[in-house]
Amino acid sequence: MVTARGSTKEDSHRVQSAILYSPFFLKHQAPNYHPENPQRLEAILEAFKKSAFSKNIETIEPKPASKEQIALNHSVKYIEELESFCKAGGGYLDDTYANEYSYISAALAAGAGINTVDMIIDNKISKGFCLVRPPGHHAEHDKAMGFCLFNNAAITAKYALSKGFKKILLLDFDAHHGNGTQNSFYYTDQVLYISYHQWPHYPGTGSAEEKGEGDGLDYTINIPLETGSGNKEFLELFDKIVQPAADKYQPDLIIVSGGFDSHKDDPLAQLNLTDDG
Amino acid sequence: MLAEKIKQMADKYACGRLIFFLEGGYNLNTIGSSFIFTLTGLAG
Repeated sequence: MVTARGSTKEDSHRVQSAILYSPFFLKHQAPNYHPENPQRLEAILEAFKKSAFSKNIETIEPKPASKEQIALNHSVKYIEELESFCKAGGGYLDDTYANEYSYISAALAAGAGINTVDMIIDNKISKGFCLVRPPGHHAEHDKAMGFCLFNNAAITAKYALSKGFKKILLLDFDAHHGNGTQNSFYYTDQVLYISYHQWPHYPGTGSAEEKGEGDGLDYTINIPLETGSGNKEFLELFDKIVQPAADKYQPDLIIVSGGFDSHKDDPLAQLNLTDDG
Repeated sequence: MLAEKIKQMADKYACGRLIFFLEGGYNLNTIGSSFIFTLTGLAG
């Protein structure tokens, strides 16, 4: 069960944050040039190593998620087909590639989130930063999509719910709509999914009219942004939409799907967020 | 900035509990500093 962290003297000495990273994340790659490549993570790691954070934030190697854990969000058929496909050397699954290392990379990426939930419950950390590939938010229940194999954030949210968390705010600021994540929680109020994204844009979903259904009605909030939207729009809409929704919901865990393609210089999107926004 | 607001929200309601996942971001010249700024806001 989840317990609120106290503020005892012991806590002040506790490591608050951890990075979760595996070298396997660099082995998942397409045969030819692809924008979703290992150099992305290498660039992040290099920046981290040069930063002051590297002195006090530990890097932890995750364990892979089990098939049962991945099946919290994906069909067993898809999981097993992907495993066989990768074992046989991989190739393209519609628009998404996989190579011989992609199954283990994807299982480790989901495992990073699961390990973080366990460490949070054990009061070892309060924040985990999962620097993972492949990404996850486009992956659907039974298929790979948009460079994503397993939906890391959705698997992690479902695992956290199974461990006693009750209300999870899942905030997605990638420039593309997280169709897979939205679909995972469209009919439930146990996860409040809020997504900022350029719209209309890939993958096509994410209009403000998509609000959830049944118990999930109003627990999906889409914030479609026009091309060129930047810091001002992100912050104003945070105060206008995200903050009031969070104040009403009072989440016991926050999961962030962080896409840095909302940056003004990203080649795959046309939003204008800058580093200080 | 956005990340600081998210951190304040985590502190206010979730005892600071937060899990960050890297999703997209395809500019190799900016992705490193974007992460460090985000980390500064969320964990700094």
